[in-house]
Amino acid sequence: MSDAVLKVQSLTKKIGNATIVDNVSFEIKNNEIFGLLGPNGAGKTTIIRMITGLINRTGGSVMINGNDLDKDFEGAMSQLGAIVENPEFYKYMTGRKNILHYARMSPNDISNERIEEVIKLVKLDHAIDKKVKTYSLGMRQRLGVAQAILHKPSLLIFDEPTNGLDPQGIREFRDYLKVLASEGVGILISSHLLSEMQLMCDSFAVIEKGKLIHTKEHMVDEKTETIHQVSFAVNDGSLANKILQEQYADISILKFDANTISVSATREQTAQINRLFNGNELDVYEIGITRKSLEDKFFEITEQEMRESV
Amino acid sequence: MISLVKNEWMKIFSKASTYIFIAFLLVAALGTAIIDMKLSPEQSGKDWKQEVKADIQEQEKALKAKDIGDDEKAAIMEEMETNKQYLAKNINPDLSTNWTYMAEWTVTLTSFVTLFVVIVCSSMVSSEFSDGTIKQLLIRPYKRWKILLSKYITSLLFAALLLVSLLIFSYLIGILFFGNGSYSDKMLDPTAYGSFSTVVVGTYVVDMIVYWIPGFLVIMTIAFMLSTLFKNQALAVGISIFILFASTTLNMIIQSFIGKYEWLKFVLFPHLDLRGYISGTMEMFDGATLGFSMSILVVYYFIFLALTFFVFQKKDITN
Repeated sequence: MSDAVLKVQSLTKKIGNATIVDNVSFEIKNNEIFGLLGPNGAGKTTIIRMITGLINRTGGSVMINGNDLDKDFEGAMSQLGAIVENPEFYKYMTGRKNILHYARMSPNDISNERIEEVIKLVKLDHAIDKKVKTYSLGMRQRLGVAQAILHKPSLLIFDEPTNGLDPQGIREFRDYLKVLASEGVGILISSHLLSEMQLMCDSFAVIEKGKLIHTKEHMVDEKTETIHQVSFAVNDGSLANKILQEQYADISILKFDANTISVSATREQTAQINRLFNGNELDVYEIGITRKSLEDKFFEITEQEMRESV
Repeated sequence: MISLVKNEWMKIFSKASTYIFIAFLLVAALGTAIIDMKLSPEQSGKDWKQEVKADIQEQEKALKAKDIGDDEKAAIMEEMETNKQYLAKNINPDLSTNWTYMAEWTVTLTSFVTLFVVIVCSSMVSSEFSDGTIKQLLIRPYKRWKILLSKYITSLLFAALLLVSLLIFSYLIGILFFGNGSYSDKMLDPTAYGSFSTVVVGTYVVDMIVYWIPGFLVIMTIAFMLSTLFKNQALAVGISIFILFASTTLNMIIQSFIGKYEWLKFVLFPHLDLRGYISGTMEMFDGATLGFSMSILVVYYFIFLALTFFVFQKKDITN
C-alpha cells in the first residue's frame, strides 16, 4: 500500500469555457494535517467535492488510501470521513439517530460501544438524544466530527471546519485534529482563515484562481538563513541606528525611534548586532523576533503571483 | 441495501407529518362511516322485498297522476325500473354492510393515499438537497444508484403501508358500524350506470383497488422523478401535486380531442385511471383496451425511472 492516504493528480474542472480547477496535484501522508488555503472562490470547495465524488471531474485522478475513485468508488469511500461545508444533519431526528444513520452506511459493522465511544469523545453525551434542530452550531460541528470518524477512516476531509465556531469550539476542534493525526489519520482542511490554519496544519498548499501556486511549506522552519524582523529595545535608538549604518552597511533597518530599532536579520546577524551594540556601550534590554506568520507568507505568495500575472 | 432502506424508513417515521397522514386516513374512514350511517335509510326490520314492492306501487300511482311533467315522468319510470331490477335480480338496495361501505367510501379515500404518497415521494430526494444532507449521504461507500434505489423501494413500501392501513381501517370500522357482511352479496354495478348489471360487492371493492394501483404507481414515480430533478423541496412537492390535480382536467381535454388527433392516444393521462375497464362499459376512445392502456403505463413508467436514475447518477452536487 502506498503511504499517501490521499493522492490527487492533475485534478481539473471545467464548466463551459471557465476553468474552475486547473491541473492540481498534491499528496497527504498519514499523520499529516494538510491545509488547503485560498481566498473564497479560489476553487477549494470544488477540489474537495471532486475528491469526495460529489461532482464530476473534467480530468485527473484521485486515490484514497490506494483506491482509485473511478475504479473502486466504494473502496475509496470506505476510507473517507468528511464534513463538506456546513455540518448538515436530519434536524428532525435526534443526534443518536443521525449517528445510527451513518453507522448503518459504514462498510464495517459499527458496534454500539464504538458509537458510545465516539459520542463521548465529541462530548455530546448529554445532548445526543435531543433533536438536532435544538443543537448549537458548535454541537453540530462536533456531531459532524463524530459521523466522520465513526468508521475509523484513514483520510478525513473538513471543508471550512471552523466557520461559525466560537474560539472555544475552534480550540477543541484543533485538539481533536491533533489527536486524530497522531493516531495515523491523514487530514485535509480547507480554509480561508489563515491564522487558524497556521495553528492547525503541518503543511499547506495555496490555491488561487483554481491553480495550486505554492505547496508544502512547513510551518516550523528554523533554518539559520531565514530572515526575521528583529527589534532591539535599547537606551538610545538613534545611536543604535548610527552604529549600524556605519559598521554594518548590508543590514536593512526597518525603523527606529528613541528606544527601539527594528531590522531584518538572520539568527546569526542578530547575534552579531547584539555584540556590536554591547561593544559600543549601548544597553540592550530586549531582543524580539517577529516571525512571519502564514498570513504574511500567504500575501507574499499571492501578491507575487499577481505581479507576475500582470 | 437493507440498511439503506432501514435508514430511509427511519427518516420517514421521524417526521410528524407521516403520523398525521396515517391518522388522517383513520379519521377519514371513521368520518365517512358516520356520514354513511346518517345517510342510509333506517332499517325498519321489514322484508326488503315488501318495501320495494310498496315503492313500486307508489311509483305506479304517481305515474297516473294528471299534473305530471315529462321529465318527472321519465325519472319516476327509471326509479321504478331500478326497483323492478332489484326484485328480479334479488338485490337488496338497502343492504348496509362493511363491504357496501367500502365499495362506496374506501374507493374514494384512495385519492388521499395518492396525495400523501405524492407528498412523501416528491420530498424523498429533494429534501436531502434542501437540507444539505445530500453531501453527507453521497460520500458513503455506496454507489449513487444504490442510494436512489433504496429511496425508491422505501417509497413503494410507504405507499403499500398507507394503502394497507386504509383498507384495514375501513374494514374494521365497517364491521363496527355496519356489521360483518358477506363478501358475495350482490349489488348493481355503480360503474355501469343504466345497464343494471350486477357485481359481487367484495369483488367490486377488490377490483376498484387493483385497477387503481397501476396509475397510482406511475403518479408516484413521477413525483419521485421530480424529487430528483428539483433541488428545491417545495418546488418538487408543489409541481407533483399540481400534476396530480391537473391530470383529471388534462384527461378531459385530451379525451375531447382524441378523435381528431390520433397521437393523443399515446399521451399518458387518459390511461392513468384503469377503473373504467372493470365493467367494460366505459370506453375512453375507439380501440382503447386494458392491454393497450397497461402497455402505455409500463412504457411511461420505465421511461420515468430510467430518467430519474440517469439524472441522479450524473448530477453535480453543488449546493
